[in-house]
Amino acid sequence: MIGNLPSDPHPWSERREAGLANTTMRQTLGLVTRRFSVGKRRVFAEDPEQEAARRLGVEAKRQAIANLDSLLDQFASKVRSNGGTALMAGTAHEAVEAVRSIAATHQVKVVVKSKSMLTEEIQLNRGLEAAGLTVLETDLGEYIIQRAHETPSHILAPAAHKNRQQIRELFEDDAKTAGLAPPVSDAASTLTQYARERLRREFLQADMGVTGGNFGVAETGTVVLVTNEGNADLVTTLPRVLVTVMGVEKLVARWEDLTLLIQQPAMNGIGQRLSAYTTLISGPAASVAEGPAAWYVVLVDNGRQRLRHTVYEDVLSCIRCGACLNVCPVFRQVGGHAYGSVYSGPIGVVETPLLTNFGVGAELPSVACTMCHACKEACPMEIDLPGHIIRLRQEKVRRHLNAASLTASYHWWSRIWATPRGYRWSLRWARRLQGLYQRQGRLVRAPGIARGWFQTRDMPPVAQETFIEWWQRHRGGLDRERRS
Amino acid sequence: MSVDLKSLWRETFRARWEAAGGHYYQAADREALGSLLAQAWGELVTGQTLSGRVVYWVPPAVEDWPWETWLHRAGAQDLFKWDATADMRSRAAACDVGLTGALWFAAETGTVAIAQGPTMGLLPTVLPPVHLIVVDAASVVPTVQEGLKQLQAQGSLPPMLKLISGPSMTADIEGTLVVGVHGPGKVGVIVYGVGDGG
Ligand code: SF4
Repeated sequence: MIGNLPSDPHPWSERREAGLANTTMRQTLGLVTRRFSVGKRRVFAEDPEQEAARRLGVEAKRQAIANLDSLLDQFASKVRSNGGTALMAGTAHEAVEAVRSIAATHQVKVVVKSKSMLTEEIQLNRGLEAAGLTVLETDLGEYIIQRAHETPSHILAPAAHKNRQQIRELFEDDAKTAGLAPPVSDAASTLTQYARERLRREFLQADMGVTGGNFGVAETGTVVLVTNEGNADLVTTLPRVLVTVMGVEKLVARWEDLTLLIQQPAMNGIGQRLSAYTTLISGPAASVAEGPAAWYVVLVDNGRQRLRHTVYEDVLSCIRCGACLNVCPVFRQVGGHAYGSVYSGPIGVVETPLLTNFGVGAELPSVACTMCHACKEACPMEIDLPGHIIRLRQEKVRRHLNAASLTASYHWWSRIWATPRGYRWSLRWARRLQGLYQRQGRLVRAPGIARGWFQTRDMPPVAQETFIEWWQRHRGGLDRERRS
Repeated sequence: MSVDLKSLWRETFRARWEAAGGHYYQAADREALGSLLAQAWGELVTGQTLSGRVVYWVPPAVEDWPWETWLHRAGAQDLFKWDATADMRSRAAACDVGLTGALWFAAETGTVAIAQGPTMGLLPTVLPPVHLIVVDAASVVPTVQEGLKQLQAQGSLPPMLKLISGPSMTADIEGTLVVGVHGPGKVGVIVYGVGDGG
């Protein structure tokens, strides 16, 4: 089944310019992505045995994808025998419907959520709000952007595009509606304290908690959640109903596989050995004074299983660590919103068009990659991100997904440059015309299809005489001398 | 398992736990625990505008130790022992300090594992702004991997298991690190039984 992802209607050029113009975002992203990458190098250097765990973890993930059908059955029946309910959702729509009907069954009014990219992907909040429910994000960054009606700009730092003053203003408005005292300053600690108090009330009143899932263990029916804020712990222990919404690809076969993988998101994504809070849920509360009375796990496909048995299958081993975003020179400049999709950075470039069969983000492989291969080096799950980007470009040509004018110009360009004669011919023309496009001895503009290329670059002009031309003149001369 | 190895792991735990922002105390024997609790209280609770209400449970093996006397002496006002039949939600929400036991603690990551059970709740670990954890020195493991493997080997898993590797924190506002978001901003581990050859 082809997946459904939300998309930004603005064209890439506008999204890119907006990203480049947002100095707050670029500063924050520069700061956090560097901190994350430095931390990652440090933890792997200090604990070299983690490298072995990572490698075995990759194997475990690949195996799990290969056996996904049986793992899904096993996981679902384990969750049931643990006292929970497992549901399958083929599409985003089905997933939202499933959560809505759970909420209706349990007469839920207020929902608290911990951060989950998948619920962004299926636009769960919108679906629940349309059913008259109040939905509150509890991750600090998510709470901020929910107040601003925006989407995350980094999977691990969702509000990186907002500065303290903007956040304070959002919270001042929020305080009015909530009848609370507004934050007294725009210090990060004060703003955080405000959010803590504000959300504490909601936590205690909420009927239903919704979380994502970082890993699911088929053997034990366990779901694993990692956070640094501790919000998932409140979401999973306070409300009477708990719903875990998780991609089908999150499953691993054995508990032992989990032990290999459990540290990988934090180690690779943020340079910590383990997130501050890791929660392993293996069932609803039975005979304890806390925790949900009912637990549901909604397993969402939304275009994922279609990638199995294709060259793109390894994409399903992504653990959403964010390491590829942190090292991507494009991401670090334009930020997450420019991708126009829930998933940004290299994995977003690959996954957005793949999940939607080029329905969303078809432009991304062509525009949002410099082919530097940094993501390939960074990815702990050894996903062939740059290789996939090239393959997606080729696929776009095969499927005629590029503008006709673009395809035609590349076609002619390659025809001409495919022979030495054509190449020399093009140089002669360039030499003749380049006088019109030079500044201080550099080529700074060009007509037609080459115009865009020069928007951010220049290059030396074609030489008055190329080496080949010089060679033909002199070498030819020598030969003549020798013969005579 | 040699004693030396375990004390080595405890040292690593201490270094990593403290690097993440946690506090660490270790008691040679039972007698030292009372004064250590007082010291931890002084460092983590005193000075904050807290009223000294405590919600607590301790590991079954040490339940008969005089925890309440120690806590009162340390500065606690009201004490609520975990009671599965009472409304622990509102109680834990009104407390300033949560004191709990733990299953094991892991050196490499500086992690404490706490399981949910009828006599052991997780709310004291997240709702109060201060969380104190008492744990048996002998329960140290080298890695989280090892601890999780032991847990599985024991048979059934708890409905919820929590791995805590430092105070609650965020860098969501301009990348500035802030501790104490939704969970506690102060976490302290008190290891007992160090002198018992653990
Ligand atoms: S593609 Fe690799 S590096 Fe990127 S988020 Fe997924 S696992 Fe991490």
